[in-house]
Formats: sequence, C-alpha cells, structure tokens
Amino acid sequence: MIDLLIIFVFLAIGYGFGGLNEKRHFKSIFSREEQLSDILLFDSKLPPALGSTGGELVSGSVVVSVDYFKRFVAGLRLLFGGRLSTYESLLERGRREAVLRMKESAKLKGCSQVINIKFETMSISKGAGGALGSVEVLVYGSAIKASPIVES
Amino acid sequence: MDYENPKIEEGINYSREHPLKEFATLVIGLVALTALLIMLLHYAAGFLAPFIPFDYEKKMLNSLPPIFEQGELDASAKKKQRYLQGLADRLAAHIELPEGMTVSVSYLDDEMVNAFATLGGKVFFLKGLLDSVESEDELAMVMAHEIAHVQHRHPIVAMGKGLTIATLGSVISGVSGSSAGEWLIGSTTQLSMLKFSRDQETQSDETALAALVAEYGHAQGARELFDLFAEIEPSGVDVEILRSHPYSDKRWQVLKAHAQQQGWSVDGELTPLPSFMK
Repeated sequence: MIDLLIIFVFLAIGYGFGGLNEKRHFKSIFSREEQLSDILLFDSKLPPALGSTGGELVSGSVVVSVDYFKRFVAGLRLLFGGRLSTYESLLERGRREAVLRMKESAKLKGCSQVINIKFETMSISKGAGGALGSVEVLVYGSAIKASPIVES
Repeated sequence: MDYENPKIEEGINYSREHPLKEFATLVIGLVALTALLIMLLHYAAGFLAPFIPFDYEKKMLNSLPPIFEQGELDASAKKKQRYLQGLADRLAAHIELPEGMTVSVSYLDDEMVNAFATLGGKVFFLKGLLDSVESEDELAMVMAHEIAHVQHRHPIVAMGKGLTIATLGSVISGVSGSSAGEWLIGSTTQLSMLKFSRDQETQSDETALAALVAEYGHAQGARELFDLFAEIEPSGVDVEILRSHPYSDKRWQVLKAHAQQQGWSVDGELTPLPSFMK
C-alpha cells in the first residue's frame, strides 16, 4: 500500500512538473526560433555564396533529463513496443534548443550563417544503472560572415 | 537565390496526444493482460495440482524445511494435541476425505490466534486460539475448516499456483527489463493471489459448516467463532482486496444464509471445552 502511494506521488510530481516544464520550454522555443530566424543554417560544407569570411566553430549543447512519469510510461511501452512518444517530445526539445543555442553563439560572433552543421546525440545515463535517464544533444558547425548573396 | 529559415512543421517529430491517454491505455492493457495470463495459469495449476498423489504431497512436506518447529511437548501439551486429534478424527468422519487422505494435528505453543493447514494433511493449532475460544464448537468449526482445506487440496493447489505465477512474473520482468512493468505485474499478481485465497476460504467455510452441523446438530459454534474473530480483527484503514481472508462478519453472513437455505439451526447448546484445554 505504501509502495503504491510512493509511486503515485512520484508519478504526480513527474507529470505535474515535467508537463509544466515541457509546456514552458516549447513556448520559449517557438518565440526564440522566431527571433533568430535571420541566422541561416546550411548542411553543405561550402557557403552558398563566395566571398564569405570567418569560419569559426560554434556549438550548442543541451542535456535534458526525463521525468518519472515519462519514464514510467516509456517503461510500459517497452513491453508492447511502438512509438515512445514521451521520449520523442524530450528529444525534439533537446534538438531545437541545441540549434537555438548554436544560433545564439553565432549571433554573438556577429555571424549570419552557420554551415556544415552536424547533430550528435548521446546518452549520458549509460552505466548509471538506469538511475538516470538523460541525453546530451550537441549541434555544431562553422559560423561565417556571409557576403551578400548574389544571383549567379 | 534567396535563403530563409523555414518554419518547422509542428507535431511531426513528437506526438500531440495527451500523455495521460497513453499512460491509461498502457496501464489498463498491462493489468488486463497480466490478469488474463494469471487466470489461465490459475485454472491450469488449480486443475492439475489435485492430480498430484496425496502420498507425494506428504513426501514433499518432509523434504521442505519445517514451517514451525514443534519442539519437545510436555505432558499437558501432549494431552491437548491428543484431544485435538480426536476432534479432527470425529469431524473428518463427516467430511468425505478421499481414500488415503489423513489429517494429523500438531499443537504449537504460540500466542498467535491462528490455525492452518499445510501440505500432506498437516494441521497446526496454536495456543493463542485455544486460549481465546470458549467452547468445543468453536474449535470444531476451525478444525473442520482446516480439514476442508485439506479435502479440497488447497495447500498443494496454492503452492502450484504460487510457483507457476511466480515463474510467470520473473519471466516477464526478466524479458522486459522494465521496472515499471515489473511493479505493475507484481501488484496485479499479488492482488489476484489474495482473491484466490479469499475464494478458498469461502469454499472451506461451507464444507466446515456442514461438518459442524453434522457433529453438533446446529451451527451456534460458527456464529460464536466469527463473533470472536470480528472482535479481534484489526480495524482501521483496511480494504478487502488487500486481505487473504474475507471479513469475519461477511463470512458469517454468507454462512448464515447457507445454513438457512439448508434448514440448519444456528442456535443451540454449546459443548464446553474440557478443563485441561485452558
């Protein structure tokens, strides 16, 4: 009975705070994506226009942790299989936040474009014996000061 | 060529479904599935266990570590045990025990108010119970109840079910490696085992009542006994699904209805206990 109560309290805390965090985070992501929409991202190795200058490594890195509720649901999912939707939203937030941080860092350097961007995701809960459910999302690329793009 | 950051389409990489919906679906699904599997194993084990020969059950008891060490009995304890055995033999005559099935009673010097039946027809009576009853009828009701457990092969059935379901639990949790699932399956299993236990108690109560009436001509002893149990039953936060036995007053209500249906009297003269039993 006590077990049940403890789990229920953890679930409620996880659901309450986790849900609130996620909502707030998405809201902030939406507005910052709008603000930083002038920084252009390219996955190509070369800038789209000749005459660009600079070329500095910029990166954005995020470490996010899952809450108790999400983990519980994901744990049940492991039995049936299917979309791990509680983890999907977590990773989506991680990726977009990392991109935003990279853009912010490029803006600070006075750059307007980031080329050759790469994503990396790694679990940092390995070896923690399942006590920790967190991932790092890293985005990096070369920030450049682009010359005005001319029609070629 | 103009470049711009396109707006990201929402709801593709993550689901917009309410997380509680998924939670509910999964929990209900898992509980239902576990319950179904347990039911299946429960009936299979319950069906097969009685085919284990009683002789083999007796041998099993000897190979298992003893549940209770009886220790060396003194003269008065031996006398009590002999009396209990006599009572058991009288009642067993009214309960049709299959060929080769015997009941042997052991007396334990323990303050707990309890009695129980184990494998091989071994029945334990604890001192605490002898001290709290007032009449032979009450003891006889308990005795008949324990003999009924033996007759219905409840100890071996419970053991068979317990082992089968424990195996299922460890297989599922071993395969899934999910602690959430493990916990849910564990709880469902525990609750279903308690439900089976309550069903067994009800079945034994009815068999016992018939034997009691056959021996004494009335069911007054059962009434007194459940009154006593209801009195010492711990009150407080307590729900029936967490109990191994149904509530005492409920057990008596069921028995009373059963007695009325059979036309048995629930009032009568109680047979006193011999003085050496106190």
